[in-house]
Amino acid sequence: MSARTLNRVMSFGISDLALEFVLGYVDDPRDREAVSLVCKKWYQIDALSRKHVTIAICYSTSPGRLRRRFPNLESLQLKGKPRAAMFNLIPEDWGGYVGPWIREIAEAFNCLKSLHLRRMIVKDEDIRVLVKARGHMLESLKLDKCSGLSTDGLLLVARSCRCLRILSLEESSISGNDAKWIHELAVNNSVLETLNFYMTELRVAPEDLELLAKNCRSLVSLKISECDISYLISFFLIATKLEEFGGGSFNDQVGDLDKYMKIQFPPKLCCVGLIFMGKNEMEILFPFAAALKKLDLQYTFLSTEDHCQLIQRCPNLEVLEVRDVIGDRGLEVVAQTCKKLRRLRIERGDDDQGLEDEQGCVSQAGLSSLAQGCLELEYLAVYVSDITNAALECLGTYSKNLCDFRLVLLDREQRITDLPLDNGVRALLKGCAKIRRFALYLRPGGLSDVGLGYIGQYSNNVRWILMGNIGESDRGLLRFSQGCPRLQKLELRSCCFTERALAMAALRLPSLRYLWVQGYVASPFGNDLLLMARAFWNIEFIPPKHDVNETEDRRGNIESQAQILAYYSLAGKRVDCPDSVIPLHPA
Amino acid sequence: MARGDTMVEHDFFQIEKLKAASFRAADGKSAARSRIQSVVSRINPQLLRSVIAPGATEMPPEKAALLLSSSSQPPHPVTILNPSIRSVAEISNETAPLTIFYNGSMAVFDLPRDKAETIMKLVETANDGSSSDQRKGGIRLPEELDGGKIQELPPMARRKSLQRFIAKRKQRLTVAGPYAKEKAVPKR
Repeated sequence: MSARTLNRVMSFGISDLALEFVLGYVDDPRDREAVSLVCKKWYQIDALSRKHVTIAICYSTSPGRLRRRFPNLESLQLKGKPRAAMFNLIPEDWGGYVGPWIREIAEAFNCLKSLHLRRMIVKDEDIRVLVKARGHMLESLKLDKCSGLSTDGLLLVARSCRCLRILSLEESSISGNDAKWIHELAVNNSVLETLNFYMTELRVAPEDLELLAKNCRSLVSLKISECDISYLISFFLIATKLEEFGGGSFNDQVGDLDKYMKIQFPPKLCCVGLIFMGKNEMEILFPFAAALKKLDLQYTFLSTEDHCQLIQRCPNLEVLEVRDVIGDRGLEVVAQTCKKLRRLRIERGDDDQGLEDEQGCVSQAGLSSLAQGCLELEYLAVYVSDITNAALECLGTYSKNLCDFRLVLLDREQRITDLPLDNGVRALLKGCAKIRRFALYLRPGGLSDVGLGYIGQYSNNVRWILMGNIGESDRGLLRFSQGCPRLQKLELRSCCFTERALAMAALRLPSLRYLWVQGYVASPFGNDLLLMARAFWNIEFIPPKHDVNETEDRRGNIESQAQILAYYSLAGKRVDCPDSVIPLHPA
Repeated sequence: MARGDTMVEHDFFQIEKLKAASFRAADGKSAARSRIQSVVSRINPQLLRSVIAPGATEMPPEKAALLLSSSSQPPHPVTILNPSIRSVAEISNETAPLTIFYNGSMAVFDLPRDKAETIMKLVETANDGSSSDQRKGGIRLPEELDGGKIQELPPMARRKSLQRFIAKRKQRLTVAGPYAKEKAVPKR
């Protein structure tokens, strides 16, 4: 058969042009991956027409390789530091420098309109290079939990990127006390739809926000740093299209409260998260509580009862984020009221119980109510003080839409009602077949080796797992590693496994491409780690450090444990490791 | 540093254990030594928080250091306490830093002498046939130490954003009050 005929046979008789059109409708990255594996022709068409790529760890490939394969990329997401960086566990200078990528983008990616950098180091100079080459066409720039830049860099963006629709700097560490960049943004841009500098320390002047609202009539989402809400009265009157507002602050909670009551929120506002909001101020939400779809109460001063009072007015809530001060009682209200709830995050409150509501604990009672009441739940992340197998079984029975489940057992209570959780975890994983992301952080005795084996056995769809303080011995880990056919990313903390077992598990898990471990049984000279050495597998060792500032513990105890990070890479060994990171090579 | 620092060492290469084993029959003193030659399983600095007085002040006339290390044979990493050096310990209520190295981590505690002794006793008793405890991944503390919450493990890390919020809230609670100064208003 001639090559041309073979080609047509492989393409089902479809011409190349038609194929390109068809593949233009195929967006899902998994579908695209499948397409690229069919034959060389399909690989080429996919490569030239791929619009978006997410690189889960920036050292797994190189900017040059990306350019050679996907030269017409319109949107790129890059992730740098390991996830543990969000918990202060990774040295600041670990890596994730965006410089080499920006240089490649500036030179070669002529179609790039959208850039999302997560947990990377971005310097002002990088911004300068980026906006010089791509500023005129950049529509979306997200610097998500990044560090290294200053307000000077933001000024460059504000002046050069007139097409920017989305600018997000959420939780980034940005130095500089200058608020000029917001003014420049307001003056130079008229198409901005989303501006987000939530959870930053950036200064903001209310009049610049008003100017922004006047000039950018499409502004639908604004999330800012701390700025007393009463200064935004004019802003809210001007930004009539606003649907989402986050940040702000309530600085005067003992004086004149009327000034907060005077605020008139925009008519379409349905996503709200106000920092330091207290019981007295939450009434300003009541007039439109029934329209609320997203509510972030993680940074408020509300008690358990306050949560109940507020949430019972929100029957249309789809996304709710709270601390565990919500308590079982609050979860009962959620279960009865929020029938459309899709995402629920219950974060860990202050350990100092004097500051949090006494009722502020979540346990099996709250979880069971929640499971039975909110059948649409897709994402559940919860810090509990107590738990039972029955509660997990309940979730397995009712929460059929669950895709992302994370449970952390706090160490507040000495005795937990029902451990180990082997049967509950099994029931949960069996019942919730759609789960793709799974985290379980317990305490010794929380999950036996048998339970760990269950996780392996029933995690058919799971791509990411985080486990802490689970299992009893290496046997458990090895049993676990016989399952989890699709597990790509594994994070382990504070476990009792030896280096040898970790290495064997890493070799055995068929889809594993990323492993992070902190807290394990080390071999005397670390050589068991090299049992998992293989081609294209980068291993990094971060030895324990002694830096008081870097730990959460403020009682003067200096403490830090060694970490192992391993990942597949086509880019070879890293060349930019700091002293605190040791790349391991087999001898 | 001037007044007779006391170093207590655990011999993680088991040199003392081997020596003591050969002298066990002959030497009465080494009976004490062999009693103390115990294997320490998962004793973790965090385990000891419950015994540490919160108000302990730093005044080190003597230093005590326990070197614990784990080997590649779980769950019995070996440590040896050499009692001969320990004999210098004075009876005093002053606190001294106790440094514990374990499994790649280091923790420093300021303890009065009697608590340090208790901890060292705990190290000895921890593995007397307590394999079932090890299966549960913990060490049963002697009664007198079993007070309050037991934190046996490395502290659970908290998200940065929440950490900042909790710190700010504490700040506001101390600063705020009916007589607190008015906060500066930005220019309009």
